[in-house]
Amino acid sequence: MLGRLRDGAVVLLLVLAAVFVLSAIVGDPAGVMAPTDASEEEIARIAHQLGTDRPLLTQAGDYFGGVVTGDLGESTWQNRPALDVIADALPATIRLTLAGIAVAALLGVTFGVLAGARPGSRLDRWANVVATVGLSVPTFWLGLLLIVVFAVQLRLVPTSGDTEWKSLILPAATVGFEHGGRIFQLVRSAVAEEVSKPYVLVARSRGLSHRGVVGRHVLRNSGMLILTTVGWEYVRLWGGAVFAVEVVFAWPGIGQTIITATDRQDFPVVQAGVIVAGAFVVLANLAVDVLYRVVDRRVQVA
Amino acid sequence: MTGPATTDALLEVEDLTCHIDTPRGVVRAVDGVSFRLDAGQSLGIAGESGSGKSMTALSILRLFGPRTRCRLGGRVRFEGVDLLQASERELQQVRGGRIGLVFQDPLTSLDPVMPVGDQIAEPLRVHAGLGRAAARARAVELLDLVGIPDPHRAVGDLPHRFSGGMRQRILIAAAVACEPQLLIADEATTALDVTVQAQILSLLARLRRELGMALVVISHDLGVISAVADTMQVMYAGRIVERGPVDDLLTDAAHPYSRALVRLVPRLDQTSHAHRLRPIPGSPPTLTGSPDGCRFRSRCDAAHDRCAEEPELVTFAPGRERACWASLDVVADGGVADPDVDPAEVRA
Amino acid sequence: MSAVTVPSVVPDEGEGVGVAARLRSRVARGRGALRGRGYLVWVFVLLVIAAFAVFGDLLAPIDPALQAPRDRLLGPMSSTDSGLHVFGTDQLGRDLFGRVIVGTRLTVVIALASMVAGSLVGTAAGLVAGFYGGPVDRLVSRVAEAQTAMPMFLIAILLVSLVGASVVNLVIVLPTLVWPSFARIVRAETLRLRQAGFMEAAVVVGGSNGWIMGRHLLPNLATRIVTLTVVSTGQVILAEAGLSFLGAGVQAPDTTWGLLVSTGREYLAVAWWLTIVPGVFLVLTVLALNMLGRRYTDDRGAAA
Repeated sequence: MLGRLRDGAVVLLLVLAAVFVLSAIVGDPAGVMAPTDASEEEIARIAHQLGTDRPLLTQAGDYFGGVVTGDLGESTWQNRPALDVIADALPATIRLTLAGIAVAALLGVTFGVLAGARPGSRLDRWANVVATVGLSVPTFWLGLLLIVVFAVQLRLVPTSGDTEWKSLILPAATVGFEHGGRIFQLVRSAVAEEVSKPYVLVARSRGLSHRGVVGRHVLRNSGMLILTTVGWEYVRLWGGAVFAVEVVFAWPGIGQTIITATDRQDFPVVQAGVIVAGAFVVLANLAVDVLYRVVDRRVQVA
Repeated sequence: MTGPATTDALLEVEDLTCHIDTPRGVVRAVDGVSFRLDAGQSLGIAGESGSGKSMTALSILRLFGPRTRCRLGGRVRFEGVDLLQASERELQQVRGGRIGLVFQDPLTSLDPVMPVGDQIAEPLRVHAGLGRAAARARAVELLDLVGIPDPHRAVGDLPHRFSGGMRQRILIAAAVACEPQLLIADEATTALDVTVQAQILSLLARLRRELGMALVVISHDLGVISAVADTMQVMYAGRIVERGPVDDLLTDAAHPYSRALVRLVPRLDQTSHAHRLRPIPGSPPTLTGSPDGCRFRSRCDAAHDRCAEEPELVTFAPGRERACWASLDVVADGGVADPDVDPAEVRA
Repeated sequence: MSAVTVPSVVPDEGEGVGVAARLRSRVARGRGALRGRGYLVWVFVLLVIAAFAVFGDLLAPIDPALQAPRDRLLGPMSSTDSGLHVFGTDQLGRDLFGRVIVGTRLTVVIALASMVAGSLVGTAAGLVAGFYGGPVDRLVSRVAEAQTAMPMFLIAILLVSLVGASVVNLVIVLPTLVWPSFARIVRAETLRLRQAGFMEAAVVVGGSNGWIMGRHLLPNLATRIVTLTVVSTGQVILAEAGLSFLGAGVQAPDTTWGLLVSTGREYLAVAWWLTIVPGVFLVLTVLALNMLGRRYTDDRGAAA
């Protein structure tokens, strides 16, 4: 348990370090931010403003110190702390990820169990095809497609933004379909494997219907796996897919904010965004891990 | 659902066939099997792997996995009702309720995350409609019946806490929970140690007496069959090749295959070279494609021209049937005869 | 009492439940082969894509560089003086079909290059980790795990915001998305094979480490690596498309399908084909890869 906490901390540190390394060493924020025809002195001046011309160690100190105190620099675009900009956008992203994983779990688990319980059936074959297609589709394009069909042509929902409750539908559906596919595959294969185990046949020989066996036995045996599959998929959401969706739907979350900041060369916000998102990935990772262990322990004891 | 009971038999299997569709062709796992079982009777079915003996049991109850594509033919009359025509719901009532089944591998036949008591209680709740408490109480009784020590505590334990032999007892308890009229034991002792085998077999015999059940014992082990069954039938390539009382059949088998099987039982008192084991040449048929005459032909010492036509089961002595064209003398002399075989020895 | 067992002339694979299960799995595997010829469709798709990649604008019915301001934003199957625009025209009047064909080459090249890099690094890492074990293994596993836990997508965006977007950046970032899967599978197989014992035999016979890895391990891994490669290529294509869409990948005047979708987005309400059509090509290509990958797995019966 402590080991996992330590691992999580390590990853977080790695993320922070990666960001720092990229910005201070590899990157040239001043050069990127300066107008294209800027002279050497102008670039140097901007660098001095940003503080990127100081010795690395000093920069590192400021950086990590800042992380600890919560000071991630000032947004050049909005003239307030970068962290605040990100913090404002955080709730929207959280809502989207939760809604998305709910849809994904609903689709993936339901069909995964139904298909896995009857491998080779027509439902199984069709569901597999749909899931494979889902995994072959670029998330952002799917979002655009949905916009064209439902928002532009049918005018059922707004085309973008977070203006009303209906705005959440398409983005959540996009995320859900995409990740539901993977959840489906994993759940289906777990259930199919479970269903082919001898004790299932034995249970049926006692007079249980196939549905009864699946409900009473198979689900309990696969339950853990299903739960953790959904959990890990949620972690993967934070890894990047959700941000593409945000951009497509102009959903005011972290992803959208980062991209906009990139366009406006508001480098501190980009940095802050990546750090926060990275922190969330690590946190989500840890949470799923803990959840897994808690449930697992309960099963072992029982 | 078919018509009125025409006999008093508990189970009447008529011309049962089970053909399975596989990419390599149709596998004729069971190809025309008929037999009859009266209440309280005990029948053994012997044969090698692939002979169709287990598939017969599964076919009777139509217990196939979701992926198996099989076609059943014939009639299986149980207590007057044709199981092959019955609906799934009717079958579910029979399974576990009127016919109990015990399978081969106790280590994988129990749900690993459910207490054994609940698994035994399952058929009780499904068939007898018992409530949780009543079912549990009955489960404790059943555990005691099959010889599990400390049943009150055992009822709440998970399967992994029990040895193979104990788990098989638990499975038997679940199979007889609703006091079925018929219990089918399919290689029930194969996965167990020899001493445990003996215990399980005597348990089955005892239960049969106490509950008045009919018993069908399926095994490749002639010793197991002779220990529990009164009558036996030998299967080969999906068909029955010989049938008769156990003692008679073992002493003087009337079909080349059964004869060879009996010959294969190694015996401690036969150390001379003349009594060395004679494995049956060739290998069992693949069960695909249509049979071409007698299926044992290619491996039989007594094969001749007549064998190009498939023999039917024919009664040749009171209570004894065989499916073979060769005369009894030829079979007896076919190099595989052994007048020293004594069923008592085999049973030991 | 001792029961006597008849030695079976056939290996006793277990009766009853076992037989049913064996038959079941045979049926399941066979059905894939029976359903059979369908996979040829996907092979055909990939061949077409390959042709587009190799021959580029030579295959385009209408010159994709030809701008015709009067014919801008025409829908699919519109006819103009230049010919039939199967997929319509873009905001500069260029034939969309031609543009998509042109974009194929870079899409494919980036994907292949990244795949090669990623699979090589991943396979090597996995082999080394599984083979040498100990601290080497721990290090490689840690790095792979840590990396999968990091939001690589975002870091890619960060990188781009710092050094600017380019094809080179893509080819650096994309392999990082892919190598952990290879490393994981290769490492697991290597460990398994190591325990199987024939490795010791190879050592006894006198093979060097490298020889053992090459001659013994790799052939055993071949199936799984091939499947993973095929499927991962699809993922890389999608990842590149995503990055280019976000502006973190390819930049004009270079073009890939992802970038086409991105530029078409402005006109989503009036010219949906500009975004949808390039995406369809993406879907078909990745779908073909996924289907073929699964088919290959089914055939060899290996675990995917």
